[in-house]
Amino acid sequence: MRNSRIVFLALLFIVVAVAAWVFLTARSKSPLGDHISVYYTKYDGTSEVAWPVSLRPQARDETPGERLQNAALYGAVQAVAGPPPTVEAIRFPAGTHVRAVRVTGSNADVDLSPEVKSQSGGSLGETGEFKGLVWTLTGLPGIASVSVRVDGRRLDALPGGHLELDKPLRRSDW
Amino acid sequence: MSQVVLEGQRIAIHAGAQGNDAVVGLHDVGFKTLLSRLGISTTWGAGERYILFTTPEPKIISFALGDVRYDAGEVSGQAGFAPYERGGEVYLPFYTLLRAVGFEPKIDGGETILQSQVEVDIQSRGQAARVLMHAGVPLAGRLIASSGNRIVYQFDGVGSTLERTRRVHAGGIDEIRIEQSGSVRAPVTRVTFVLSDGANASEMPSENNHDFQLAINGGRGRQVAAATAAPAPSPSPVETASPKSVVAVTAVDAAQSQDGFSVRIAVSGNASFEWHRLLDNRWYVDIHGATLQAPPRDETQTAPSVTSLRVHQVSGDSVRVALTLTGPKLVDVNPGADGLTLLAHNEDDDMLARSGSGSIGGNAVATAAPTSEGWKFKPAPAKTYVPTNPRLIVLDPGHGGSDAGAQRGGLSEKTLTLDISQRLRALLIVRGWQVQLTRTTDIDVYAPNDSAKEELQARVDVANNTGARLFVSVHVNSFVNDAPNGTTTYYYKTEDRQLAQAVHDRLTSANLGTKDDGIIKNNFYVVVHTAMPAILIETAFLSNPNDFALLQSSAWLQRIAKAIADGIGEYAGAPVAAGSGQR
Repeated sequence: MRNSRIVFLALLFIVVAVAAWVFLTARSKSPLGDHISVYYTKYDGTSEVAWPVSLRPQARDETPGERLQNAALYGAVQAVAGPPPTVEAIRFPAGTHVRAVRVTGSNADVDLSPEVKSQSGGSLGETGEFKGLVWTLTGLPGIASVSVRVDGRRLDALPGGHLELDKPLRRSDW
Repeated sequence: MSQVVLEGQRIAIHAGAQGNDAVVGLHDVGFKTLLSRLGISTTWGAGERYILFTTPEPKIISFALGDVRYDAGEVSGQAGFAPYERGGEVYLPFYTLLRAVGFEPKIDGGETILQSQVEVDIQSRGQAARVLMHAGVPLAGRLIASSGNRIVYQFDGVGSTLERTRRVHAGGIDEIRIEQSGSVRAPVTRVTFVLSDGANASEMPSENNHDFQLAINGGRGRQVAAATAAPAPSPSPVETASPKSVVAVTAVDAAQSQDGFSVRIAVSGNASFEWHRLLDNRWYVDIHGATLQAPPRDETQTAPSVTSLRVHQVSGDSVRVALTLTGPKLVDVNPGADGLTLLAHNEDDDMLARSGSGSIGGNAVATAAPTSEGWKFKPAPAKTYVPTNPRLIVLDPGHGGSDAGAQRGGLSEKTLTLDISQRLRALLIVRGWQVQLTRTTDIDVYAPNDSAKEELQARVDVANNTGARLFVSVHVNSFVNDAPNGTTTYYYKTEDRQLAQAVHDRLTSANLGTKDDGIIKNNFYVVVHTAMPAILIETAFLSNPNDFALLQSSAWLQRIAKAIADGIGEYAGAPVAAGSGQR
């Protein structure tokens, strides 16, 4: 009788401990704050300007890893959409949008819609677009590089383009 | 099933009532049709929490599964219910989304009429303002009354849920009154602007037909002169019409202390700033919307961390304070209520941010772009490249064959790059160089309709396989609008900057009549993968009217070819005999 009570209490302790661990893990705080910096490139092709975009609060069941994934998705969508229309910024071709973002290790893999291929033919736009995207995502803690897909597929370079897109892009590329 | 009416066209959407909202499935065919008509793209994938919509404006509408909060641009709100996922489908608060993208759902005769709502945004600056009106459908403003200090515009086909009277008292506007009339299916919105004494208004061109813009200028005589059909010629009347900025840089004081070289910039008023660090250890901060009231400075310094200090007005409305650092020095940027303090440390640092921004005044704040792996200012050790053919220079006329590159008015990039390259070849041969072009006619170097990488690698192979001394790729730039112009020289490998600098110096000193867009590091394929010193020159912009005129001139093409040849000569000296390779 006494032994079964001890066993019962021990089991209860283990269940409570596991539940507490799961609860605390799920609620562990992400290093991401309440906003992220989204970058755009000015017409000079070199200056990156940041504008803050608020990030929705971390959900109770949102792990730090998922939080980073969500922030990367949000940041990429914002960067590809660009700043408000009154701001003079290099922008992706009209209609370009983010299909998906997947963070693996320190790399963010961004899948863009095929409209990105409709470049004007110059290097200024192509460079400015991707630079803003890379600066936005590598500004998130834990992300150091950005790889690019178009319509789900890897691409060596954009048609008629100049940038090498078959390897991850880093800030140090510029 | 609901019949939704957008601009008179019916779309069948599976949408049912849920509380005071309506629920719609993300993959509903009618819903997707509606989004397509509105030019809205969706980002969501299985397992994702966030559901994001991007409007053409652009504005991002953000929902999250299980969260009643939504974000629409900079505004947050509470949806009718939290989005949820069931059976692989995501269900969204339909009316909340419609309102977020500027439509008010109105029930009429058993149908849901999507009534576009006009948004009014006022950006005031001193005694001038820009009024931007936007709707989810084409927006045509009609001036229907103008008397005294009141002007009235009418917008057919759009409604408004905005407050009827908005007191502004800024930027030349006292008040804006908004009235809606008409029917659910044919709404009419009238906007009355009550201007301040002496203010006038003019219509401005808009980039798309969903916007309508007015420029209000409070700095001229008492008149109300709204333009009619003809747009105002100035693209930025707020800046041109506004009086002198109220923000001023009143003093700049520099001093050397134990910690380093400090610069105190006194600023009156609220201002934003951004700073940049260049690769050659130049550093500057621009204080935007400010007038320099202190004397301009251009001084040599003998501090351990700084060799020069310059203070001057740039671009009409920014004040620039520039430092030339003695090396990769950390510069602290500390904004405050009455200015900005800089401190250039004496010690070198190898992980430095390249740029940052912030604000001065009541809400002083500074942020710096974080450093990243590889972003170090210590120059990488130069690799040793020994050309097997030190007299050979490979020129790469960009594009060609099936890839025309940029095009405008019968001119194409591939033709221009070949023309310049052939002129350059002739000049270099006269100076004793051997020259090989990656293409001498209008062809693809690899094969017609090849992939971009195959084509670029083929050009790289020409240079690498011949052991050339230098590689120079010639291009012509283009952009989606005609604003940017100028000449840019790109390089990638640290040790190639010297070549880029030499050529770019000659390009800019040749007074070619276009802008100096600088020397930029970039991972362009051909300059990354060539073994020898390599640069890519974007000579000018086909998309810019001034540059376009230059590119049509044979004399100009000859001048730019000569400038490149001179730069090559400056970098490489005279050709050397085979076997005595040099870098």
